[in-house]
Amino acid sequence: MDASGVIAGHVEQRAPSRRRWRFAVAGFVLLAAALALPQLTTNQFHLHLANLMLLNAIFAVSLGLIASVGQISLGHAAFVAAGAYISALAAMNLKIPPIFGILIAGLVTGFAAVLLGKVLLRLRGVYFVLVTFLAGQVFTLVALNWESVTHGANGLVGIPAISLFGFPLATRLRFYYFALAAFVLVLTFVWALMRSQYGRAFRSIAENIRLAESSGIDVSHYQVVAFALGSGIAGATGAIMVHYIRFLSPDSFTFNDSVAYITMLVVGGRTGLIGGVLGALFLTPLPEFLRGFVGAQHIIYGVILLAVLLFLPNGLVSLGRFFVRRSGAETEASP
Amino acid sequence: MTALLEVDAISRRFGGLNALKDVSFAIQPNEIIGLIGPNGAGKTTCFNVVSGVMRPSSGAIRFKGRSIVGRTPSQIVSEGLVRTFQATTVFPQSTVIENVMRGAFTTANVSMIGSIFNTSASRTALAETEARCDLLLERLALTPFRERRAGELSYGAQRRLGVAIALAAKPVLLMLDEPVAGLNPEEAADFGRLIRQLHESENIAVLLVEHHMRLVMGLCHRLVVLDHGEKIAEGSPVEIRANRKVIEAYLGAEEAA
Repeated sequence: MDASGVIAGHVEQRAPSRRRWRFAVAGFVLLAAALALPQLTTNQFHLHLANLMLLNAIFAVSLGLIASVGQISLGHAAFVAAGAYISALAAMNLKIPPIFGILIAGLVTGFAAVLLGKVLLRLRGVYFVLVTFLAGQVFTLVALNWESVTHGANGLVGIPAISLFGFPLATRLRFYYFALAAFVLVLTFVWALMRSQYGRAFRSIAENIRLAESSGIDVSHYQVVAFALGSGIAGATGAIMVHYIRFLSPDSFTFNDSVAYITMLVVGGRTGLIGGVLGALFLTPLPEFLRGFVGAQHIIYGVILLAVLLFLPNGLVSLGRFFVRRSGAETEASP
Repeated sequence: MTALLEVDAISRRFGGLNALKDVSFAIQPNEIIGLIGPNGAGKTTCFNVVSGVMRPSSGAIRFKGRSIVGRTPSQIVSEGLVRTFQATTVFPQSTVIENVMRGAFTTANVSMIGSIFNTSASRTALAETEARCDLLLERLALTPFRERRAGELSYGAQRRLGVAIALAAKPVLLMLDEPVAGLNPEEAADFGRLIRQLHESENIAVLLVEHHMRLVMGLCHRLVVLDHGEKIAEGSPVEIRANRKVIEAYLGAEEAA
């Protein structure tokens, strides 16, 4: 037993550098494809879908950050909506350039999440889920009824587009590159975070909260950090989205969207960074592909979701792991 | 010599039930103390109160002369008072080395922000921590399982890993909650030797809750006996073995059973 353990240890030590290399190459290829692909199409609808996929991927990843400390928020869309309102109102009423509005939206929603988190995160499990659900509903009601500011159900119309150095990102293609940059930035940040001592603390808490606390990891502090970062990213991205859609009403981001983000995370894979991305890339365009099956599209959508959860209980990401492991086994077998 | 830990008349009530009533004892630096008593005597409650998992209803607890009542378990750990749990002692999904690295979380000399940017300072600090953790694995005979998932280890190895996680936090006082429960006699004896070895090599005081009488009698310098939430005796193993109250408490428990 000892000998096999030692051998396994050696393999594990050699494998990471090779695997890291492979990941870097794969990342480069994907990024190059993501940069080149939109140039090949003039179909505005496909571009729009691609933009929504990128934004939804950020929403799912930011929710995954909160889930990485073992909490599930049913009010994630409320932070998205809050960020959207902040930046939209700042641009329309105060003439603040959207690019700054996005930053302000991220900071304000992140700070709000700190305050909310200090109260909420004392609650564990189902109680936390319930209160985040209620907080989301309350936000929608406030947006609906505070008509002097939010224009109520009529919504905000004519929200300006993002403009970089006097260059407006008013077309779908131009916005695509902005969304892609935001996506890469968020993904890199969350990756670095999860690799750091923060990630170590987050995973400890998710895996065994009592042992984490008695190992000296301040559980409530790190839960607030994860909640604030996840919510702040969601708020900033909500602001990015509102300057793209350029219309905002209390119906834009609701409880249904919170559930959609959770679905993306679960279908893609709850653990790890890539799960949320895969879920968003898979589920965002799915209804459009099913549009041909008039009448049956919702049924087919449901069946596909069920099938994924049934056969891939750890999400789409387990498909990828399967292939990585197989290719890894092959290269190790051949000297 | 001032005591390392002073427990001063602590009580803990759950509704109308007195789980602990006016319990006092002290632990000197570099001492192995056993906390024993029949089932339901309040040992685990006492343990939870001292380690900060529960607040005492009344009474004072001082560690290194400073009160630790009302502080969170994670703050108490940074002071050097570290505990293990009876059942959930490891992070089952993670590798053995990662388990110990998590135990070393507060003692790793690394800035949190630095670790995000993976600065060379943080890499050096984490490499030092990892070397220290590897040393702990070696000391607890866990090196062969370094890259295994903790949940796959045998029960005895998981127990040792639990101790390694606690030691990684550099305790001055190590509190072990029934460390040999569920181990066979041979493993239990090995574990006892291990605790004494660690006590000598790391220079730490140990507070032990344990049912296994032979282990406790052979290992501990002093014993504190609880029954129905009250301290009924304190003394050396020889004194405790001859104490009438203690014999009654245990025989009474046997008659009831």
